[in-house]
Amino acid sequence: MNEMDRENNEIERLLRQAKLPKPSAELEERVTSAARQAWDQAASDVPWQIPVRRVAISAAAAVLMISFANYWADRVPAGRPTHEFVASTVETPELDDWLQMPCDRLVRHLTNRPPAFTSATLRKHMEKVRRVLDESESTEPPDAATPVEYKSRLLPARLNFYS
Amino acid sequence: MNRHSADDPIQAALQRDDPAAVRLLWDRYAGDLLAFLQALLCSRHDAEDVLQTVFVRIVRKRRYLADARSLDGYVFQIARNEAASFTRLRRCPCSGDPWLEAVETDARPQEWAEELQAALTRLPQEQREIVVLKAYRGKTFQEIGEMLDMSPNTAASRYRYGIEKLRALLKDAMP
Repeated sequence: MNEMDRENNEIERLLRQAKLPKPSAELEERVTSAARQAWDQAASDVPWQIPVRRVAISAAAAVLMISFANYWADRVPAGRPTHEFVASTVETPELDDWLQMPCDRLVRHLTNRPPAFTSATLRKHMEKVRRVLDESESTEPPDAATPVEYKSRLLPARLNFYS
Repeated sequence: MNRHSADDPIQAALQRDDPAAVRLLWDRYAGDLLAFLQALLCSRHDAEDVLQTVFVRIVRKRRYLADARSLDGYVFQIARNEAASFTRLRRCPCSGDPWLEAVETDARPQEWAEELQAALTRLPQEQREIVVLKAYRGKTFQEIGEMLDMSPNTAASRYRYGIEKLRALLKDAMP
């Protein structure tokens, strides 16, 4: 270990037999004048202007990007071939085709359903309501012990429009 | 070495936006930066060119330097970045341009300085920069650690590895 230290000290002594040149006066003049020139150029930058300038540049970049995107959004559909929009002009399939679809029970129910309100069904319903009212007038008042909802016949329990 | 920004005359001048800071920066950092850049670039001519770029960069970033926690670390990091940019453009790590001089009073001729320079060039960069700052600028490991943003122990171990490698390289030259 001592031998290694001795050799390392010798290396350090050998290193000191050479030297690094100091900066020359010419270099000093060149570097400091360049630095002062840079100082003067940067002196016009007031500190508060730096973030303002960054915001302005960001806003300009955003406007540019949005304009560019809008421009291409307007141009691209006009340039597209028309066959890509064929799906919008496809005719409605036939009824039999609908019935073959997975939801055929729902479709069948919808297609078998008669029109909701006709004059005949409305007249029939009115007759039924009138009959119920007549029956309720002719019967005695309900027993007080019995719950009202089980005795009421004022309206039919189920309005069957389609029967 | 590491001063508080309010006490440091350079940082005080930078905060005042006083151009006299350029002279203060030169007086404090020119010698160390030139040695550091020569150790990185192995060329005096290239180191002088990069030193100018470093000072211009420091001036442009003076608002950040004015409040920097470690001015030394900031300045040497700028120098390292500029040297790296220069090396990328040059595409050759070391140009072979002489950057060491023989001591005039010594009996050894200039060839010895060239032999020593060749040995230093063969060291890894992280060892070479510490050997140069310690041997030729007389910096302590504490100061080197603050300059290069590393612990003094790391600087000391890199220096030791560098010296051991130099010992192997200069075995024939040793008495």
